[in-house]
Amino acid sequence: MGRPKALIIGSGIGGLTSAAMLAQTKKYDVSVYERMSFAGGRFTQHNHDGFQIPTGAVHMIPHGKKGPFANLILGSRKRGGLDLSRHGVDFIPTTNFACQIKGGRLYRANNAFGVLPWFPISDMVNLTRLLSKRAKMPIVGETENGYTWLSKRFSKEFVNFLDSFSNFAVSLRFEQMPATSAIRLLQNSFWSDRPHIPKGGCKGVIDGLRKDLKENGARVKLSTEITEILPGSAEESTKNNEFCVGIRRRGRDNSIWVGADAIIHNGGHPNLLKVLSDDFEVKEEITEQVTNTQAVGGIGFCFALKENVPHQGSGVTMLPEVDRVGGYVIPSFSDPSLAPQGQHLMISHQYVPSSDVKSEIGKGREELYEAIPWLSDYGEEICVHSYHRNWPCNRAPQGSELPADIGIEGIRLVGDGVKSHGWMMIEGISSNISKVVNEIKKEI
Amino acid sequence: MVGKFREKATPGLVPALESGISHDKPVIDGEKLKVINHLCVGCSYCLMACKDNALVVEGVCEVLESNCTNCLLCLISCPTGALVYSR
Repeated sequence: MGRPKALIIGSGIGGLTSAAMLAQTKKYDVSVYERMSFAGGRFTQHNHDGFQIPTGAVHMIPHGKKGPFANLILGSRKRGGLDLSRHGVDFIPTTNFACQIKGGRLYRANNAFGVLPWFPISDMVNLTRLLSKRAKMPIVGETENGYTWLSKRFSKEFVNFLDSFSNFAVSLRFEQMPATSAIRLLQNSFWSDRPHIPKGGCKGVIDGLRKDLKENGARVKLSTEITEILPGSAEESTKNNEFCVGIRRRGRDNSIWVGADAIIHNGGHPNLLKVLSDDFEVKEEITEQVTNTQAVGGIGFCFALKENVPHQGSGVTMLPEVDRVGGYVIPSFSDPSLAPQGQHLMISHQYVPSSDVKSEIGKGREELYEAIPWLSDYGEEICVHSYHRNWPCNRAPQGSELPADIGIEGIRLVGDGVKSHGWMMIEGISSNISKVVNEIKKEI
Repeated sequence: MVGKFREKATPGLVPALESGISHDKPVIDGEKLKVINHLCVGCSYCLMACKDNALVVEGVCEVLESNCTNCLLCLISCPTGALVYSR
């Protein structure tokens, strides 16, 4: 009997990180299967004439070096981290904690308190009260939606600012999430480090993870898709394993069977349920929850900016005066390698309120030129990305996360469908990974 | 479903492309690059892969046939299987 086999489906940031955690123990035989021809999923980038255009994530580590992602990626191995700085992975701070453009003027804040002078003094008092509440303390009116809850306590300007932030970060408005999620999100953001940019962009982290996997003998197979997951007894060759998984090179007819003792799925609940054979029983309440959960869409513009653009800095900038666009970031001010020399890369993000994506793109573009006074003179649009349906922004909306455990021993999910409560973007994905990996370690 | 459709439309093409034959530009008589609109989400990955300025993406991908050289680099970069090479 060899080492137990761990099979990871999907080489997104969730899949690769959990694979690296299992591989570092050297106790498991780890293989990662990726359907697409590149690793990283929505946490990597394409090189387009020297511009590192992200595939989804906006080259941002929202909570910087103090968040769950940093703990996992840069943390020492003693403390449960992967210590990827050995492979050159690093996070570079953005130049500001946050910025906003209001009335055509740019405001910058260097820390959480720097934001407060932009708003009435009553907000300062209420925010201090909100932030000092301990995470587990019950909050009055937690069942309301976030927007109503915040509107009762803060000025309209401040709520709009926070709402743009939520739009930028999780592609949802506060009215679309329960108050409790909104509050935890704010607490985590205000108590954390300023946002950071991964060195070399998102791909810098992916490359570090792949080096680590290689070092620990784990395999990453690209252009390989999963066709079916059966119990190990289904095939003679896998009868000693817990599962029998059908894999196939993309575009080929024939699949082969491989054995696995544990499966970590990084491709979202609907895709897992699709390949899971009827031999496995998934509770009805879970399938129902999965069917009722809608993936969250988003639209992002990439602009090439001239070197002397009036906004010199990589701080996340909110646009509270417009409806659709949440904000933008110019990551190349922190890491110049993300854009060709003498130019900058700007990435915006907006939520998608209607199903007419094309018209939303048009409206978003208008809003960007309206809210950012210098954009028409200093910027040139490179491309627009839209994410929805089966290639979404988030596979489950913030605040309604699906369970990582669907009730089958040895199978777990990671990724943006199973974020932890109150943690956004990549922080939400990573705060769940250690738990999932520890559970898997116990089960195999 | 998506996978099956693509196999039918482009038998053996994706592995061939990925093994490096892509540079030989597999032009098959009467076949051309097409977009299945209901599968396309408009992520622009194809645009990033295209070297010939043959694609326009705004919510959904469109192929500019006059520029397309059928190198099909876009096809392998599509995450949803919305690009096919067929008659």
